[in-house]
Amino acid sequence: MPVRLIILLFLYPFLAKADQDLSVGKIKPELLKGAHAVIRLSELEWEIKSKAEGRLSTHLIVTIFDESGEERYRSLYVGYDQFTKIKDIEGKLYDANGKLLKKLKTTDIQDFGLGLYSDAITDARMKQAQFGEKAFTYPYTIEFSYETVDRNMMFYPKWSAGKKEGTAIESAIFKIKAPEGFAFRYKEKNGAPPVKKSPASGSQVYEWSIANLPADDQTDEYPLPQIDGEPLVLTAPSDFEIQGYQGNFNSWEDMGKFYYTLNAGRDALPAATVEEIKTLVKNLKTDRAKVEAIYKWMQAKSRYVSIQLGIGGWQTIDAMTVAGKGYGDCKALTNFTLAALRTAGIKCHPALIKAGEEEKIMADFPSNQFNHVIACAVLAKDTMWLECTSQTAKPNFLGTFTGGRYALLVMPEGGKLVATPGYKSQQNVRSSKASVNLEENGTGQIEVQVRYAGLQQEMRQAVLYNTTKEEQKKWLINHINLPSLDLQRFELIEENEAEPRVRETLTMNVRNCATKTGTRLFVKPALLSRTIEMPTSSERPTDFYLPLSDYNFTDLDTMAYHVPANYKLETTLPAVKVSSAFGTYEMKAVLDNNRLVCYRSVVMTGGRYPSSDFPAWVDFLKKIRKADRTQVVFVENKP
Amino acid sequence: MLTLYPQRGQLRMVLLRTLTLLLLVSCTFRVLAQEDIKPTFGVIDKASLQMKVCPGDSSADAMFLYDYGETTFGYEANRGIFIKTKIWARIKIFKESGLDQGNILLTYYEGAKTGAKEKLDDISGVVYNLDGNEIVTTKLDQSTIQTEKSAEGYLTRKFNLPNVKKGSVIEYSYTRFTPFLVSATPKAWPFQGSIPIQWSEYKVTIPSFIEYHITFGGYLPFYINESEVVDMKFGLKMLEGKSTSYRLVVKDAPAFVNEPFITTSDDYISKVSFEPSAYKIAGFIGEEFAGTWDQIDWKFRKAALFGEEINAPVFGKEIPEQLLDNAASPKDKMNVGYSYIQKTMKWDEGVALMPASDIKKAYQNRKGNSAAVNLLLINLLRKAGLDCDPVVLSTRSHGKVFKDFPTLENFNYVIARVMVDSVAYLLDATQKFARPGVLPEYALNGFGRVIPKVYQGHFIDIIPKDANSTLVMVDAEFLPEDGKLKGKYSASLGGYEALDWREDFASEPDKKYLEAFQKEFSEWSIKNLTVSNKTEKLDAPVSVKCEFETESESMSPGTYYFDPITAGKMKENPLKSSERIYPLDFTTLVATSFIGTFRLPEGYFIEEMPKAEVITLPGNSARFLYQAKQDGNVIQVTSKVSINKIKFLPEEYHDLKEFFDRVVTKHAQPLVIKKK
Repeated sequence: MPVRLIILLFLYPFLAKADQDLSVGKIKPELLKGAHAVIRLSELEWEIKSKAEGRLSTHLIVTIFDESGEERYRSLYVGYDQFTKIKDIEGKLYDANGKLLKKLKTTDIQDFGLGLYSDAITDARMKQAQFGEKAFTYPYTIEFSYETVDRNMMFYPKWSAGKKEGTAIESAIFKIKAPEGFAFRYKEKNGAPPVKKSPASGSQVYEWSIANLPADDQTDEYPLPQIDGEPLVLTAPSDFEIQGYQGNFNSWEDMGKFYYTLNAGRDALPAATVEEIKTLVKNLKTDRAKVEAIYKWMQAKSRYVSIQLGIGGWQTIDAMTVAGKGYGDCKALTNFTLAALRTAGIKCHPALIKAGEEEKIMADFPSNQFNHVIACAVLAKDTMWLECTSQTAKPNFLGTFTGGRYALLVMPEGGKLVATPGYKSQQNVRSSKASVNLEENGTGQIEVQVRYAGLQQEMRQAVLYNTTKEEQKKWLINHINLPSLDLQRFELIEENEAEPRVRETLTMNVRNCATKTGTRLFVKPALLSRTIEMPTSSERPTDFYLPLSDYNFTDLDTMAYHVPANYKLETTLPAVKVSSAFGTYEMKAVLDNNRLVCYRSVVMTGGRYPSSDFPAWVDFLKKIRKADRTQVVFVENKP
Repeated sequence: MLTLYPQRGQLRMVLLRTLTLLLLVSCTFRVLAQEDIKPTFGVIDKASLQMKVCPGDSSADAMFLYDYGETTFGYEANRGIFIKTKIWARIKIFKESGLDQGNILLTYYEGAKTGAKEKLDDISGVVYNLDGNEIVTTKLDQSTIQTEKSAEGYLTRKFNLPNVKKGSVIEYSYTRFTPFLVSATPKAWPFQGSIPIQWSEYKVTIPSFIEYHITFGGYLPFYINESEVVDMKFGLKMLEGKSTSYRLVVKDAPAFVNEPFITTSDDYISKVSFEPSAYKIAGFIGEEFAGTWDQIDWKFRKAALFGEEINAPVFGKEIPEQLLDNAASPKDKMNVGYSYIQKTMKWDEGVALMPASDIKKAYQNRKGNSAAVNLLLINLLRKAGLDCDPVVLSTRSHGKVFKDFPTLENFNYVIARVMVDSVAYLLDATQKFARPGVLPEYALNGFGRVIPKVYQGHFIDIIPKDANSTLVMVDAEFLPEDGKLKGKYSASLGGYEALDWREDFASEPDKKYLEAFQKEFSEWSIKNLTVSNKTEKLDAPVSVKCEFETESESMSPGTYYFDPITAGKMKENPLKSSERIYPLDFTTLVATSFIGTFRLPEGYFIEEMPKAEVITLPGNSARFLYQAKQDGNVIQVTSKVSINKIKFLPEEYHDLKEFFDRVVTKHAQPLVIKKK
């Protein structure tokens, strides 16, 4: 899928105001606070020439105060490909008084291919502009301006009007100029400023602007997802054209139609492959079994390679080629899988999706917000989702990559937004059972079995399938939170079940498993449990977000310690229960002769919470961490 | 470490294992009656396809069955002398994650004229699969090979081999032609990589007109190590003569796994590398690259971008007056000059042995690479009349310097040495926050070579002047009933700790450090965090102070447990692996101290206290002191951990691991307090 190379940070265009006084003294004092740089002017102008062509001009003036500001703004990056042509990049540099010191030369601009360090096959390239070798005395001001001519009109620019960490904004403007009567769409989100419209000769101008925004000095430890948090102006085409293909994004239905047309008729398979599939499913009774068999067959037969070519990365390689070569990108492998499913008489469609942890689209603004495609088989009673770029995923498991969000199902009659299955705390379970044989000096021989399900098995699964035994051992040693250990045996295996589950079995000898001081043994009930990080600040002015992929979980730990016979309990046993809006926590221990059995359970629920809940969140974590630090103390039974 | 120096058809081998040095003299030797592998491209055995797991590493995702490189030299009228390397790889895919091995990218240099263009030729690829009992062979479709212009002067050829699946064996080969104008040195050949290699073979035939120092690095033995003298045809009389041909094979190389506390993986990986030492073409070229260290010293002195720059007129009247004041002491002059370059010059983060262009230009720009900055420093200090010379060295990531092989390529960095009253100061002005004499950690790599104004240079040991030192003091009151600990914290960060702190936080708002501090002490409520001497006196420690309060749960009435190492506790052993085959390198010495003073209210007594402990490793290379003592209602707990040696041998690993284990044990021990 295509990576669009407009660098959003610099998505501001060009309306030269050569006479602006750029001296640093002109900056309002309140904008200097905590600022490594101040954006004096940032203008982005998107001029729609026709449904097939647009022109994006960018004009950026930034005053840089220190190394950190320089790091961020000294270079200009402009991406381009066969659809995007860059017209002259200009640059100027001024001293603190606004006096011109230097102009950008052609030799200051470098050009490189984006496939440089990867095996991805792409025509995307990048130009980088930077003012030579010289060091300039802070503060100084740089000005960049350039234009691109765009013939991939599936995408219109997106504009961010939010505060930036360490950078203040004096003035930022986003303009769209369209021919009179030309239809396109836009949407302001999360408190972005409203549009101002003004007519120009034969065209209409839309303008959004912000001014005097101080730098954000807070590191946000629980940021909202970008589309929910940041003030944004989204824009998208109605009618558009790309390489002779016509389409419109007025509705999800229309967008689906376009993708369907672009990729129609590419699903023919070689006769031998058709035969192979028919044989494969011949004796299978249910559609579900057929889908599973075909998915497995496809996984064993193909591999993912990154190929970013073909109508801006949106038209698939035909199924015939994939059958012959055994590789393809996400579109091609999905198209191939769908072709195979159809051969077996299964109804199925591609589904466009925005992949990535915590990524989601804005469902109320039809536009191309996708970066990936998966397959969806429609069965009599339900649907099955297939990630075709993985050779190890289980059918219908989407996980953090594509689960729990809207996808656009592409059908011949048009597109439809449907939700992919999400993962609740009850599904993402880590359950461990440990038995510890404790010696008098505090050394423990531990046998532990941990089972991971749902989102919690993803990491283990990745380690299991992507690393060597030696690396697995290293990874485990570094991820077991113990002071020092000798991992004697370990096993990571995927259990043979419909839902993915990983089982981890460890045998280890742990020094300092319990702490020995003189005549006492200090035993930790939460020794093998995972800890949850505390935020560094206890107040918060805005809503906070606990990512579902990290915070929708259930941890169930049981530890049975065998304590040396000549030791007796000195403390009371822990019995802690905490519940909050975010979940519940419980810890308890029982002693039976010399067997101390400790139970701990945490059920957490991620999501967005109001800022007023933040103190309760901090308090909840404090209580959990305090209970986790509990030690059960045994003292030597002196005769 | 094994090194080899070819000379007139004879091999002189130097066996260098860390500190021991062993000399062997031998001619060609050969292990008789051994298994040898000579596969044929395009032909596969069924056993390789049937293999299910990698022998020796059951979870390797792929393995080289055969990794072959062959380098020869050639001559063509339009291209000049060139190096021709044939690469041939055969890889078994065991797991899904190994499928990427089928995606190949090859970058080569695209110079302006024929004689400066690299060329890739004869790319072919085959994939073998087993279908039932049948071997199915799929060839690489030449039309799918893409060529991308990757960066200025470079092209990349990319191809994806077809039908690569779990169980496949893939095979590809190509030939690279590298004209001498691009590089006159064969690339290093690694016998070890990120996946296991069953058979790694490198052949090279070195013509008589050029000599290389050949270096073997790493810890794997050769399975085959042969050489013979052959005749090499060039079609050009003056190039011809007796050539030496080598065949080197390493068998069953495990995947290389990185370890903590190393300089650079390049120092540990098994490989053969080349440094040109001399050309010998009668009547054509006759350049000696190097022979002796004297010649290297001479080259540095004469190099346009080195020796000549040091004495070039660069500075004018703008420099601090004190530098030219005869009354000023040499030490003051050094400090003033060092500080002037530190403040005036911006280092562009480039690590280099020589400046990019003349240093006058860098001075005008107020910016340059490490060599420009430090040559300016040397130039300035010499102008001030000080005894100052450059010291060339190899940074940690650049790897080891081979004292046996005098070449410029050994080095990649230059610093200054000033002698003041027969005390040597090593200066690096790229570091904004370093006091005179403190070098950045990446430059601490054993030794460097002084290049004096005249005559002989010499090697000097580079011993870090500072340790990584921290002293933490906690003075607090323990209130058993509510489990509260309340008091003052102060820390003094010295040496490299101070340098690190200054680099991370000196130019950041105070809030950044408060956040980091709060993260470190997440159970504390912190008040009045102040940092003094952020940058004012670089030779004094950074000092951190705050007030804190924290509580712990006590669960048995009348008995209280109290954890005295409240800050700087060693919670886990930094050495995780049970075995170690590489030496350890701590970069600098380490000294971490904690002094806790705790007061108890009336009416309590200490029932149990951790015992004092002293652990010293042989030669005092590491030392741990721990003591808890009581004086009335005041308890004092002190802990001091010091690492007094930088490099440890693999044989010392177990002792060191045990040492840290003991520290961890002691640091975890609580005090037991009871009500009277």
